[in-house]
Amino acid sequence: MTLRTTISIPRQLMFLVGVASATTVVAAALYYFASNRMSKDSAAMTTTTVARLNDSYDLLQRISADMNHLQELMRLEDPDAIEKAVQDLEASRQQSLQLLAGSGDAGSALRTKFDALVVEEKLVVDQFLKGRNALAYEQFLHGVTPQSGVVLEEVRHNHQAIQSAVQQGLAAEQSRIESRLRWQASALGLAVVGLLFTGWRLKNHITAALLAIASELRKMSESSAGSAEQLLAASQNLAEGANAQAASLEQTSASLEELASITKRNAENAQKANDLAKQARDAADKGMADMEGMSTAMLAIKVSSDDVAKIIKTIDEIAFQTNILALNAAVEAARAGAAGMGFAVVAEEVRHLAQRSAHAAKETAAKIEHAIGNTTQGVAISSQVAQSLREIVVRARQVNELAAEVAGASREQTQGITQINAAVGQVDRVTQNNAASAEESAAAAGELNGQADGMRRAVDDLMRLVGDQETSPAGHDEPADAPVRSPGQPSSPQPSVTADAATGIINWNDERMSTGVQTVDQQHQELIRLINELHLACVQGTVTEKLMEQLAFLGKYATSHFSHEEQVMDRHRCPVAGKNHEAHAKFLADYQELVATARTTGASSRLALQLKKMLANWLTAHICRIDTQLRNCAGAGANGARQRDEEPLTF
Amino acid sequence: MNIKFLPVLLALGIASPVGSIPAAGALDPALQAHVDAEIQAIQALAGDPVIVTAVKAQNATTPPDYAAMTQETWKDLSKLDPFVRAFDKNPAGMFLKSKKSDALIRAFVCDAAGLKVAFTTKTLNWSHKGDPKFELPMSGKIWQGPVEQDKASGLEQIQVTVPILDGHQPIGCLGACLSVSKLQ
Repeated sequence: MTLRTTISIPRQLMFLVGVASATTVVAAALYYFASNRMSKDSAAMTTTTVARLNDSYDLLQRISADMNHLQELMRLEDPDAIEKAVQDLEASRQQSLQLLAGSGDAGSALRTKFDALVVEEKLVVDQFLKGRNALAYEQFLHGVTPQSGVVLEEVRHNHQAIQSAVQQGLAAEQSRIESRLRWQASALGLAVVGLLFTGWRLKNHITAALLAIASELRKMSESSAGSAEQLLAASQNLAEGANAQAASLEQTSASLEELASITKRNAENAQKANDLAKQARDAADKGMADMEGMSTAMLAIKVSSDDVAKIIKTIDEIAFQTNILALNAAVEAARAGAAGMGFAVVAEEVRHLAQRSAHAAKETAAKIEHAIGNTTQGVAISSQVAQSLREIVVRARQVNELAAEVAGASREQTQGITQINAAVGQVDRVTQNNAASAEESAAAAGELNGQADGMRRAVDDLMRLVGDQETSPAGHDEPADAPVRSPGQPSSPQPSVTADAATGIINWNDERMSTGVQTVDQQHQELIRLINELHLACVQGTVTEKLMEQLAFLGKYATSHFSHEEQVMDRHRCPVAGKNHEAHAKFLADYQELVATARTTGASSRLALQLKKMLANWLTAHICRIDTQLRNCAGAGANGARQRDEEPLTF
Repeated sequence: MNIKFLPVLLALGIASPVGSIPAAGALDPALQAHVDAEIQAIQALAGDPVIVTAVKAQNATTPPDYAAMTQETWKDLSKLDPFVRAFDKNPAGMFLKSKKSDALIRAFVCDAAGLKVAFTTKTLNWSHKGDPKFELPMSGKIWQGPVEQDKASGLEQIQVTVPILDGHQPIGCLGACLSVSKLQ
């Protein structure tokens, strides 16, 4: 592995850009420093020259000014003004001497001539200060003026010398700059050539690397497209399975609800049986208590009968004794004779009463004996009844306990079934979610397929970008909006529904869906809009809120559209009119069944998916296959002018 | 000169302090009137206590170097010589410089001996003794010179001298140089 392959392309590019930038910076820095140095040298030369020229001009100005000051001085009368003018003149001379001192050896001649001028000026001032104005003027005219001309001439000579020196310096500097620029341009040219060579090498390397990567990406994208196709098929199968599972779970849920209802009724009946058993046990307990009371009463009657028998026996003994006494009285009365006749009658009557008492006592005793016997028998029977009642109570209690156990078991059974029902409902929801997820997975698989196709095209673009002249494989140039199978659609390739790969939205395909009748097509487009709304509601999770409304719309749509479409087919004597009628009838039956289910179980995502699947199948299997035959009957081409002999309908 | 004003000028010369103005210096009446006005102002200066005090002091005590000064020496002195500058820097000299105007361009003060007491600018002569411009004022009269041309500036000027009085006694004189162009 070479060093270039171990360094990433961005780093190599960055390295090249860095080297180019560094070269540019170095070149710019060299140019900057050279320019700066040249500028400084030029500035120094200019400064020196300007300073010397300024000194020269300044000296000229001062000499001229001194001449003026001298003339002004000679016109002054005020001593203070004269004194100040003399001082100013002296100060100006000193400054001029300083300027001359700065001019070096070149100004020595000028200095000599200037000193001579100063001497002449002092003579003028001296004459003036002594009041010899005429001599002062004469000295000024013949001494100062010529000498100032000499000095000025020397200044001009110096000025020309400065200009000549500057021109020579500029010429030397120009030559030096040109030489330096030639060297810098040569070095910069070599650097640019080196950079171009490096860039060419890097371009070749990057192109080769990108070609290899693009080839690998093409293989991967093709593999990804195949996987996406498989994933799409698997997702559709999963969606169908989930839908079937959801339907089975719906039936299971219904059965469980019915079973729960029955179990609940059983529990209620068991509870009622328990209550009745409890009442029976209470009644038995009460009968048992009553029977024991009756037995006690019977025993009391028996005791009372025994007591009455004893009393009757006493009465019988009294009657017997009374009879004996009556017999004795009759005997005595008989002995008493007539006197005792009356007494004998009484004794006879007493004897008759005693006999009647005895007889009544015997009958009463017999009755009482019989009653005692009956009572004894009643006591025995009541004992048997009490024993039976005890057994009934025991059995009633057992029945009550069993009924309570049955009622408890029924309640537990009801709770268990309720929990099972809830669990089945949860499974149903999960299954519906799975079905929705499977639908989304199918859509995502379709999107993935589109992305794989996009990646394939991107790879082709990359291949072309890096200079690969090979054309992309056939079939890779499909348009981005190539038809994809909508979820739940049969895998047969024709006819198919055009759906957006990214959103799953079905688009109207004039070639595959048009019937050639504008009103019918408009109604079919309304159906597509409904399917898309259902799809979006499923994606957004709002399908249960809109399902009933969409079902109602679908009912109105189907009624109006079917009638209209059948009239159109009949009018055009379309051969598929009969088949169309049958399909419409079956669709309406399916729709009614769906509506009935929705009214029974309420709106659910499973029902929405079922409706969406039904409509998608209808669009694919009926509209694209049967309704489109109308254009052959109506005589309008798919891309031709539409018939407008029907008024559009509204729903 | 206008003849018709002659009687008037004569009358004025008799009646006025400047009646001693020589006839050779007779000026145009209008110019003379301006000169007269300036003379009155110069007389007022001459009566100023600063001037009178300075003259009296110098009359009382003449500095030795003043007495030793000769005309030759005076002529060789620079205008900026301290001896010369002392005359324009003393109180009387400062007073005179303060009174300079467009018309009154120079002035000087002499003591009773004709020596300088003060001036605004160095004079050509150290002493005016024997000169009418000194002698007339010392007799209590006013001297007026002719119109002359200044050697330095070339301007026309008129010199006048008035007496400096101590009471009615002349103790010195005050000379002034008037610019003719500024008087008109």
